[in-house]
Amino acid sequence: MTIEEKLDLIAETLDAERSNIKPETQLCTLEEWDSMGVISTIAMLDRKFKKVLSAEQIEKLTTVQDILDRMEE
Amino acid sequence: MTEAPLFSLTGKKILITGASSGIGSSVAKLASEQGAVCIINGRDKERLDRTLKSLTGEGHIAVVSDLKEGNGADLIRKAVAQAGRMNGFVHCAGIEKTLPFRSTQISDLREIMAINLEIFWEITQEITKSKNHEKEKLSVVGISSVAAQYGAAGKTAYAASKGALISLIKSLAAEYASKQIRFNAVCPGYVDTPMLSNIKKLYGSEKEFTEAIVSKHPLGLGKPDDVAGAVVYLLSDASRWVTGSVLTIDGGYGV
Repeated sequence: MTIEEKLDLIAETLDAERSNIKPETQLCTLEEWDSMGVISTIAMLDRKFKKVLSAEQIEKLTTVQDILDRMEE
Repeated sequence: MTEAPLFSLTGKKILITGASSGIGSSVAKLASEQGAVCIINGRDKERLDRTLKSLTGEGHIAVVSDLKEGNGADLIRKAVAQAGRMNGFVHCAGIEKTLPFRSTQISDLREIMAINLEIFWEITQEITKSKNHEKEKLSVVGISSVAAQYGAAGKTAYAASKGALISLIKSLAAEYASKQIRFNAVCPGYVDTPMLSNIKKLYGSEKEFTEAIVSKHPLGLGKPDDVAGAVVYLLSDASRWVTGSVLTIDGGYGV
């Protein structure tokens, strides 16, 4: 999966405008990064990348790049 | 420019499944009279075209398709591509089988659930994506049944599917309230539709049918138009503070 495809997937997961999803984007600036957005992201990482995040790891997600870093196949 | 009347649907784009006949067809007609642009769906081209011709105003679109898995999302994509972002979705498509519970196979249940619940699920998942509806201007209505509230002998699978629809709608109402997307259910009593004609065949005589079904409705059997008014209300701004509700339209069935 290319980085563009991963960014598409993050945008789709959060139901966010694709143009707002860049590696440097601070998640807290996205209105879609609410509790449902966080849960959707956790489910996406689990289902597509078999990554189960701990509560501590979830708390450390601050930028889109942090999510990208977890999207290793 | 003056504001549209409270119950008006002027300019609203509404997707209606099961629009070939019965409640779906009536909803489409009344919604179009209130100014909506209707995207109507049904399996039968001829009957769907008949509904299309009966609509008031212009710009309505008929999409003929079977509601099988995968077609629901496709339906939304077609509707949005042709009409723009949606403002409403009414799930009128539904099937029923009248069978004793002992003869109702799991495959019967799955067949009913596929149309009455799963397609609603699929379409809702697609229409709630922000690219597919106007922000804070989406109302979704599911047609449930009094069978969901009171149960109905010989209709266990149908009643279960309609009960599940209500539970789903209530949860969606909670989940999407922050986005001002509203979800409501309408529970009609027995309405004079092609579906009722099938049920009627199961009774030996008109008298038997009247005793078993008609007499349970103090105001008599309903007409599709009786239900359509409630649906249009839930689609309109008049119901802007209404979500997660179950509106019973049953001629007094529950009295």
